[in-house]
Parts: sequence; structure tokens; C-alpha cells
Amino acid sequence: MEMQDREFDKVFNSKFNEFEVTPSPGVWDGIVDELDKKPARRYIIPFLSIAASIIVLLGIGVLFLQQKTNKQQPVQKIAAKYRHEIIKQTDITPLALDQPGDKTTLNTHHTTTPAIKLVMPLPRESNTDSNIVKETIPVKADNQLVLIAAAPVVPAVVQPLDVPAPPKTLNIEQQKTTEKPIMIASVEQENAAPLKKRGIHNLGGLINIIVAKIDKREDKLIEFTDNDEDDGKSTVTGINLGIIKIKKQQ
Amino acid sequence: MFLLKPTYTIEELLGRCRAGERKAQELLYNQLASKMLGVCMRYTNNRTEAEDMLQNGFIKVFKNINDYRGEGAFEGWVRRIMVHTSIEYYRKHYRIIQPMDIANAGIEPAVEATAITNLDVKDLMNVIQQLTPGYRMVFNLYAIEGYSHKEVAAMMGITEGTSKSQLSRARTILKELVTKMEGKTYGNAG
Repeated sequence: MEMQDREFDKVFNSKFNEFEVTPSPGVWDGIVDELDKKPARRYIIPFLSIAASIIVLLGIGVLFLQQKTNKQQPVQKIAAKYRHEIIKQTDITPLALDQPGDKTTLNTHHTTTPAIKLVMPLPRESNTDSNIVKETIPVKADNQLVLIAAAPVVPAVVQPLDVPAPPKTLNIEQQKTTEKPIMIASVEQENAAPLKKRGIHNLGGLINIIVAKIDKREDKLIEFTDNDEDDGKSTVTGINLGIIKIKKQQ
Repeated sequence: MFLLKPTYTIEELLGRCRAGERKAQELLYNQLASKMLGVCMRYTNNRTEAEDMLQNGFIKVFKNINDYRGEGAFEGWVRRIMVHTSIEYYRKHYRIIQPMDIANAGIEPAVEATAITNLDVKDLMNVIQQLTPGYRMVFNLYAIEGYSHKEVAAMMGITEGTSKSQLSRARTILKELVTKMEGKTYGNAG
């Protein structure tokens, strides 16, 4: 009797229904080995990525905190800083003031006179310098702040200046001794600022300008080269993530 | 005096396996391993490969034991895992285009009912293991496990038409082999 397909399949199904083969003992050992393997390997990469994310987030957090504290720096602190510098500078002046005249008035006011000398010449110097561009404005503003902050001291200064003029040589000497250090300080600031405000030569230059708008720190979040020489290619020259700072030496 | 080995029901062992108790896992394995190796043996012609499938299948069982919600027999759930593990093994190692034997296609030899019923299960295993991997997979899934052509096609990543044609070809080859085997048996007997 010829067999139908369905019956044929059924015979196989029923015969294999109770079919058993004893496995070798190694199979269970293999299962145990595999089950004992902790899935630690799987967690290595996620752990690293989580750690990296935390570092990046911390870096960004510190960066913004620094920006915030810079903005909120009180005027008094700036004033105190500049006053400290003034006092340092005035320590030099007595050497030049060793001239005939009213010694008592000079001694009483020699600490305050440079305060005016400090503030006034600076704008003149910066204005006369043809190389100075807009970046010098913050420098002026800072010096003006000194004026305001030092206001309680200034009235005492005005009087000695109206006193009969001391010999011309004294004036010249005094100016030299007081202004020179200030000039050096201001020139350093002015030289640093224009470097960052150049024209856009490539994509790096554009990014530098955008970053400079957001990040007001001296070392920017990221800085690129901005040269015409590199055929428009720009490379990273500095990264500042707050904690991590990398800067290529110029 | 002899010691009686304690016996546990599947439900008791399942509870302990869910808690990750190694001894319970071993007892559960001992209860089902022989039957499951019988399943895996049908999907390959190699004992070592069958044991690899069994091992991987039981690792999946223990790792995913919380997924078994008690719907249907636990043995059926384990068996399905073994079948899927065997399919994965096939897809990984044997999935190549199986050329149809055009010369013999469509010629289906007649086989007597007594011929196949007289054969031992080991003989049937022997004929199944002579099939090429693709035919063996489809015949096992459709004829023995009871899946439809649609399900077989989905599991194997083939079309329903391919499933049907491969099943037909597998049956033809099996009938030829059974007839040859019966002739041999009768020849040896006579």
C-alpha cells in the first residue's frame, strides 16, 4: 500500500517523539563555565563611555562656572588689585623726589600723586599709538574703574598738584619713574589682544571668532590656526576644557 | 540499606533555578538533556555539533528562565529553544545556496507503509542525517516539529515556495533511502 506524505511525516514524528541520546559529561561542564562567566566584559565599554561622558560634562561645567565668576567679579576686587599695583609703583618715586622743596608735603602726598599719574597718561598713550585698535577699550575701562574706586584717595591728590611747581627736572624724573612700568604693563596687554582679532583666512579663523564671542577667557575652548600659508587648512592649536588645557606653543 | 535519591517536580526546580541555584540547574538539565540531544541530533549529522547546540540551548534556557511564564509545558518551551538554537547554528555554518537536483526533481518513488514502520528510530535518524542541511532543516521543522510553511519560511529566511519545494525534495530523497534500506534489510534476512 502506497503511503501518503502526511502519513510518512507522521511516522517520523511518532518515532522521534521519545527518542533520547545521553550527552557526554563535558556538555554540562561547558554550560557551567559559560554561566559562571560574569558579563563583566560587556560592561567595560559602557563603563568607559560613561566615565568619558562624566569628564566631558565636568569640563563643560567648570568652563561655564569660570565664565560666570569672571562676569560677577566685584569692582572692589579690581580696584584693590590696581591699588596694590599703584602702591608698588609709588615705592620707587621717593628716589626721584629727593629734590629741594617742601619735603613735608611731598612725603605726605607721595603715595597719592602717582594715582593721577597712573590714570591720566594711559589713555593719551593708547590714543597716540596708531597701532592700537578697539581692543584697547577694555584697558581704558579698567583704568577708569581705578579712578572711581580710588575716589576717596583722589581729593588729597589734587592739592599737591596745585602747589607751586617743583623744578622741571623733578617732573621729568617723576614721570619717567612712574610711567615706565605702567607703559610696559599696558603694552603687554595691547600686544596680546590684537593677535586674536585678525581677519578670517579660513574656516579655523571663522571658528576662532565665533568661539571668541562666546568664550571670553584668554585660552579659548578651542583655537585653530588662521594662516593663509596652509592652503586654507586649519589645525587645532589649543583646547581649554577648564580642568584640561592643551595649548600648542607658538 | 540504600539511599533514595530525592525527586523534584519541574515547578520546584524552576523556582530554585530562577534563584540561580546551580544544583537545581543541574537537576533540571539531567531531566531534559537526553531528550533535547535527541532533538538536536536530527538537525545535524555530527554528534559534536549536536552537543554544541545542546550546550548553547541550555545556556539560553538558564539565562532566560524568567521569560517562561508557565504557559504550556516547560519541556515544550525548552524544545523550542533547542530548535531555534539549531536554526541559528545552521544559518551560521551551513546557509549556502542549495542547488536543486534537477535531474531527479519531480520523480517521487513509491514507498510501502510497512517498510518505514518496520524501521528502527536509529535507522530513521540515519536517513535524515543523509539529507543535505537545507532539506534536513525544512523536513524537521515541517514534518516533525509541526510548523507551517509560513513559519518555516520566516525562521529560515526563505520563501514559502522554497520551503514547499525543499520539503517535497526531502521527502523524495527519504523515501528512496527508506526503500533502499528496507531492501538491504530484506536482503540480509533472506
